[in-house]
Amino acid sequence: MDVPEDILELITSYFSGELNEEGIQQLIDWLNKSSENRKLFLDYKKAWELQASILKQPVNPEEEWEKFRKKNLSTFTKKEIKEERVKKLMINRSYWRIAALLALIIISTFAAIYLFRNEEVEILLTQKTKETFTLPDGSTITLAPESKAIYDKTYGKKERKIIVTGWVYLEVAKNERLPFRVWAGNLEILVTGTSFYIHSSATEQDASVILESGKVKAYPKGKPSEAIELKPGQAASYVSSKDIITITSPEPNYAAWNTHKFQFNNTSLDEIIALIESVYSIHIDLSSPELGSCKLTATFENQSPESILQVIASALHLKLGGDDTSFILSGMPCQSNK
Amino acid sequence: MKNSHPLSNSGLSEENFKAIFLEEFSNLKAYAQSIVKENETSSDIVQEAFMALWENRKIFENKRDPKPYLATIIRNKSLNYLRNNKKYHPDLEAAEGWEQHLGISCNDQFTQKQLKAKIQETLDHLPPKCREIFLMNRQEGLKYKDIAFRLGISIKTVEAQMAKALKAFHDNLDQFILLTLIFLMNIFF
Repeated sequence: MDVPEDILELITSYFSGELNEEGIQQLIDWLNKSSENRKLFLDYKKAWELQASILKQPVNPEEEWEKFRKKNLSTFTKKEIKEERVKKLMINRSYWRIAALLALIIISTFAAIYLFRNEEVEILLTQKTKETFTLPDGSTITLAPESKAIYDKTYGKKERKIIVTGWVYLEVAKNERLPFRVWAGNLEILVTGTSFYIHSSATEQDASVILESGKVKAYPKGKPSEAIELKPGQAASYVSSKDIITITSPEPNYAAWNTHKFQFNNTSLDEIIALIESVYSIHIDLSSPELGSCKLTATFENQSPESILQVIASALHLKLGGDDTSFILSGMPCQSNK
Repeated sequence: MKNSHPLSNSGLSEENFKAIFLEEFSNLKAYAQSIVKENETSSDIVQEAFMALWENRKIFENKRDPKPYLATIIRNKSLNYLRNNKKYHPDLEAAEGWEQHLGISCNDQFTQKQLKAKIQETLDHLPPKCREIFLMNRQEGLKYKDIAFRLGISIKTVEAQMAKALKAFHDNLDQFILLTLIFLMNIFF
C-alpha cells in the first residue's frame, strides 16, 4: 500500500523539522487511523534515518568543543597545574619598583578567559583568606577571599593583561613599554600612569574603577575609543544595560577588605554586617531582622572583627555572642530616631 | 562572593571529559535530531547535556559510562523542547519509538558499504532538481523557505521534491528497512 502524496509531504516535512503545529496534528490524525498507517510511517522513518546516517550534515566535534569551552570557561580551565605555580608565585616576592597601585573590588562571576586563546594560563585563586601574589613583571596582586585572577604566558612580553573576578588589589610595576590592562566583567581598564583604586558593583558584567592618584583610562571591554580618563577621587562604572561607562562617586569603604579601615556614617547595621562578613569571611547573625535597620556612625582601623562587633554592640545596646567565625548580635530593636 | 572551589579532582577528569565529548558528540547529535528534527536545536541540546555532565563530573564515578546519562538528558531535553514548542504528542512518541531508537550505527563493514552504495545510487538517480533541493536541505542545512527563495520556487514545490526524494530512498532501501532492527542498535546501553 502506498502513502498518499499529501501525507508523504507531511511525513517528510516532519522529519526535516519543517512541520508546524497544524501539520503535526494532521499527521497524528492520519497515524491514528490505522496500525497500517503507523507501520508505513515507521518504514519511512527508517528510510529517513538510513539516509541521514550517511548523508547527515557533517559535524565538527572540535568546533563544538571550542563552543563548549567558551561557554563554560569560568568553570572549565586548566586547574590541576595551577596550585603549585600559585605557591611558587607566592614565595617569589618582588623587589621591583612599584609605580602604580590598583585595587579592584569586582563582583563579577564570569571571567572571560577566552581572551587567552593560549592554553598556558595561570590562575590565582583564594579561598578563606586574602593572599598576595607576585606577577612575572614584579607587579603584585592581592586577592580577597574567594577571588580570582587569570593571566597567560604572554604576560609581560608584549603587554600585560589580566582578568580579575572578586575583590582585587593590584600594585602595578611601572613599565611604559608594556601597557597594563585589566578586564573586570565588561569593564576594561588601561593603566597609563601611577596609582589608583578600582571597585565594582554587583551584577555580573558590571564593575567600576576608583582613581586615587595618577591616571587611568576605563572603557567597555574592547572599545578603547570610548575611554574615559579619570581624575583622582573619581570613579567610573560600567553599566551593562547600556554598555557604557559613566562617572560616579566612589562607594564608601571600597578598600576596607584590604586596609581593614572602616568608616561608617549613619550606616545601617545590615550594611555594616554585610561588609564585615565579606571582609573577614565570618558569619554574623541578628537575633531579629529589625536590628538591621539600626544606624551607626563610627570609624575602625585595623581591629579584629570581634572587637569591632563589641564596639558596635555596646554602641547599640546589644549583646554579642558566638565564636571566632560566627557571631550573633541580640537585643531590642533601635528607636527609629536613632 | 560565592565561589565553589574547582581544584579538587575526583570523578570524571577534564581529559576524559574532552575525549568523551569529541567521540560522542556526533552520535548524540543524531539521537537528539531523531527526536527534535531541527539541526541547530539538536546541537544545542547536546551542548547542554554535556554541560550537565560537566557540572556533575565530581559525583561521576570513574568507571561509570556517561553515555546512558547523556542519552537520558538529551531525551528529556528534547521532549521538553517539543513540548515548549507545541510539537510534542504522545502518539508521535509511540509511533516513532524514541525510547528504543537511539541512532543508527552498524559494525558490519560489508552491510555499511552496501548501504552507502545504495544511498549514493539513489541520490544519483534522483532528478537533478530534486537532488539539488534535497542536498540543500540535508547537507547545507537550509530551511525550506531559504531553498525556495534561492531557487525562486514556491515552498510547496520544495515540500513536494523533498517528499519525492524520501520516497525514492524508501523504495530503494527496502531491504535495509527490513534489516533496520539490526541497524537500530542501541548505542548507549
